[in-house]
Amino acid sequence: MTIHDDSLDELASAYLDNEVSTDERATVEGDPEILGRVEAFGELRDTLGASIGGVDEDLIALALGSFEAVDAEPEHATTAVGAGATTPVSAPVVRSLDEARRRRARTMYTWLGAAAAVGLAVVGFISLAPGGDDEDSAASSEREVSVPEAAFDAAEAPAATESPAASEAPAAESQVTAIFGPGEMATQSDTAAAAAETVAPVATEAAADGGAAGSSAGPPVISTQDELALQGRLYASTDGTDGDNLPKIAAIVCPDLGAETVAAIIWQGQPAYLMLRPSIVDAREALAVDDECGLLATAPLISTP
Amino acid sequence: MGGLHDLSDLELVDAARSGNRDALDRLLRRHQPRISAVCRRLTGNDADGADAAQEALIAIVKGLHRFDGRSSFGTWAYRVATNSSLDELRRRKRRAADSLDAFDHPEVAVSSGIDEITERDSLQAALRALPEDFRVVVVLRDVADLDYAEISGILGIPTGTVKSRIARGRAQLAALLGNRDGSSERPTSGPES
Repeated sequence: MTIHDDSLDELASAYLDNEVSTDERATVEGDPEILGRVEAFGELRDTLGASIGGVDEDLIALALGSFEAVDAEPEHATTAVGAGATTPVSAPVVRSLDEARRRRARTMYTWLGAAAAVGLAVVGFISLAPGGDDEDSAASSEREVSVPEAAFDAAEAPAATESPAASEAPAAESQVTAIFGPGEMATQSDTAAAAAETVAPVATEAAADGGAAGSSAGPPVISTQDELALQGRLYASTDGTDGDNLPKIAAIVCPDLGAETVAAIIWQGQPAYLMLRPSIVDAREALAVDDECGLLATAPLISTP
Repeated sequence: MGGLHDLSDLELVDAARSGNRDALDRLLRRHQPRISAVCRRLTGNDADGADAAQEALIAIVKGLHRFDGRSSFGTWAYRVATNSSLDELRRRKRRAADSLDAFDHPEVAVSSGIDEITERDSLQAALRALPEDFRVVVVLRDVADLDYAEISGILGIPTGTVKSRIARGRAQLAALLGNRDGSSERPTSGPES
């Protein structure tokens, strides 16, 4: 019954939307049962469509107010990556939303310090890395980490290096290696699940400490979509709690992406932001986004069967 | 400002980008009512819908310079509105997790379906009872008046999936509202992959 009904529903629904072929149209119009469903769906559509109200003057005024604010500010508010950068996110968006957004705005400032400490993390990372001579070319190419000087001025980090992801290592182990700070390198044989448990405190501490001197962790260095997904899962648990225990930042606003900034990362060598996009399709996504709202990579977090 | 009435959305966007506040005002007035309705139906209540609509309109204004014209302005605007609404839903779930007050958070309490529909706005309650993936496509189709291809573009799913989700969403909605003969035993499973 279910399959049959679903099929008839689909036919009736498509007919209502004028999305049927000629043959399907003839089928519908010759079947009173399907036509009955078309009528029921049509009533629903009319009811839903009738719910559109008039112009909300207050809302229009508020939006126009933000237009003037945009005129007076840079194109879109970003937090520059580099020591001493203190540009806040644009005020209208942050002020007008609920406490969750305000909380993110507060935690944004803690990230600035963490960015300054990233150089130390990279230096430590390099010092612990094994030689890359025996890595296969594909793996080393994928994992090449180019460190932009803007992000690491304070630490005088080198411009480029290679991560130690060994070509023999399983994928899960590679993820661990790539996203761990230097203090966690010893655990690189752990599984991905164990990695998630271990990395969360690293990310938490990095932001909570505000990158204080001596902190061993900076933004996670991420090179692949698998690593992006793993890091994203730290912030977006599957049970709807959305990793609220982890610090989030609001360093960039990208309305086109419909995503929420949750962390600073190093994506394939460049400073970037980890964003999470809510579930509008089959999977929640993690996004790597540059400071111009350019989409660098996406990775689904949860695949439904 | 009278001449603005005759301008297309794209022309208004161009004018607004050039700093023409009246053009932006016209553009927003043209789309705000439907955007607000989409947000209200997606979030499932007036208050959250108003928050989402506010966020969406501000995001649209702030992101206008990034609208590239590959889709219609309306499609882009509804994409922003959809994302704002889903963000709002997510925040609501977080608040629900914090307070454990299910009464204030219908997403937590609606799983029992038709028995819950005792509110004045039964349609709103029925919409909340739909799985999110179904609700989104039904609202984008029947409230935003987008076609299957546009919905497919917004959600990044095949048009065939859009088609089946709309059908299943409508069927569940009809069953929840009890306005379809002989179909009250319909399954209420979640969306297909």
